[in-house]
Amino acid sequence: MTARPACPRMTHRRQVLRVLMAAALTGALTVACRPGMAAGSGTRVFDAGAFARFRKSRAGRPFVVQLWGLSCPVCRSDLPVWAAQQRARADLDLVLIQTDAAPPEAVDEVLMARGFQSVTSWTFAQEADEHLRASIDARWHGETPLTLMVGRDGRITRHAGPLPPARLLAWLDEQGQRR
Amino acid sequence: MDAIGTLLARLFRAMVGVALTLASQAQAQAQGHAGAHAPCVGTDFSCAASITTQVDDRGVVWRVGATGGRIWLIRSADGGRHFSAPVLVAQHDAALDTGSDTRPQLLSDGAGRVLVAYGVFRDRRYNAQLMLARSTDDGRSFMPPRPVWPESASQRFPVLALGPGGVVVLAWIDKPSAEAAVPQATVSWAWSDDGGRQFSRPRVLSDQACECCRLALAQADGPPSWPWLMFRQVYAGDERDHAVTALEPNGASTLHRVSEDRWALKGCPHHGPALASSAGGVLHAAWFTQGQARQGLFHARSVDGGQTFSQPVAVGDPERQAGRPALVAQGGQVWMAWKEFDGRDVSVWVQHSVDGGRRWGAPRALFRTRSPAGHPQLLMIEGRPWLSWMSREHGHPLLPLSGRNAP
Repeated sequence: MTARPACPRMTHRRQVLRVLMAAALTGALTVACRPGMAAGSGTRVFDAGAFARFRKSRAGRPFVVQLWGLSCPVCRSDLPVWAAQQRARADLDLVLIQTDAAPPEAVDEVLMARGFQSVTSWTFAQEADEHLRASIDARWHGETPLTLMVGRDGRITRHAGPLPPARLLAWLDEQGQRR
Repeated sequence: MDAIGTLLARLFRAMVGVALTLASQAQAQAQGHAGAHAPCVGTDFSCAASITTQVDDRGVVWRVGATGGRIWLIRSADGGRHFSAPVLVAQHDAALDTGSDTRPQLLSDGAGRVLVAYGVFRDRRYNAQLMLARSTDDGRSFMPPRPVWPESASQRFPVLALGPGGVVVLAWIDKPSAEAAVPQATVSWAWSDDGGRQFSRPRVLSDQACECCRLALAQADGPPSWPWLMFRQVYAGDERDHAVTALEPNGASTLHRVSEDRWALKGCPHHGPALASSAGGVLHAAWFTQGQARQGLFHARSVDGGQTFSQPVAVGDPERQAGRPALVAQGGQVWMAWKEFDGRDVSVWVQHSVDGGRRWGAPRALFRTRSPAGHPQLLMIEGRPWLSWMSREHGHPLLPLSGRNAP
């Protein structure tokens, strides 16, 4: 007969404490790993799998991706227009992806100054190389600004340069009618 | 153990299992596309992610690289076979403007004076200051870098070349005002006849240039003459097509539109061109466009010093994002390099012409990597074309494209 090692019997209180701590850790990891972090939590660093995860989380629902850069003056001057659109249309699910090698805090600073209070925002935080670009759009060579409007059916409408507000509104209305 | 205790123990083990799964997913995400190629964390030349290679009139080969906010220099006296220990040129930490499109630029006048030009960010809005680091002891040591013209709001993308009599030519993209709503800039240039100690008053080539674009400066091959510059001009209708000009210190330079691609974009193309010259004022240009008339990577040649160009010819596979061209020419021999991407791997391609760029041999791929990689550069060393490149997987290859040891 094999001798069992002597183990102190853990009290129920300690076991409950262990479970609560594990639950807290699991909860924190769940929040941190969730694609398309909820608005208001600040810009996050993008990786080559982020867009695929985000699309999966939005499957069946339309959203708009704005590719922009801190080094792109037209992009920066266009941001207040997007902030206004976001405030005006509750059905606009907007994602901003900053494509220069800029850290999150630099991006947050610009977004807040341009009228955003909360928005889903990523930054490449590194060079916009082939892998990162292709993970979003295989036809995108890095030019900014570029808008990708992803419809309910997954179809993508692209627009290079500042997007005329009327075009965005028409697209949103069309997506709304498809529900 | 009692039933409650058993239940709590099982619950704990289940929670730990979920937490471990999430943590490993997070690690996989963090590794991202670099896959097995971990970032190079050193601050010495071996970690340089942004490399420029040059050769001077004596055949000395120079390489400058930027890593961890520092610029390092190495030199070779035997045609690139062996390099010296690195010399620190400058240190600016996070403020250093560096990347595949903003590689530090180098020029050696072959008489012991070496110049390195680069940008340093002034703020978080990508306004930068052009800096020059100068050596007068053939690159053994560098004086503290200094800004050349501190007055303008932003200067980026410097390029260097030699002009007649060893004159140093420097060109860059200049922005008069940091908050200009109109996204245009000036392309400016200046020269120095004392090895970069003092420069002339800057000359403006264009005040309708694309601010977030790049420059290509081609040193004349053959009899001494001033270099040619290629840049993206903003033409009517916001069309961002390339222009070429022969630098003229004594008169107004004339801009010549390379082609009517008609890339109307109120924004930033970012993608830079390549320009090379061979004897007799022959120019070779390569550029990327998404114009109404054509899309992809193209080449054209000029036999009249850039005044007119041939009909553009497509280069590489547009389905594989052919781009980031490099060119070098000598006599009737022209080599072109570029990158492609197949969705997984970046590859570097070259093609060769023996009749001055009229016809090209079959392109061949020299490198393929899944790791982060820079843009190819071509140069002539000892009368042969060489390719200089950077990838995390391959390091900093420098290899000949013809003759002995060519791949």
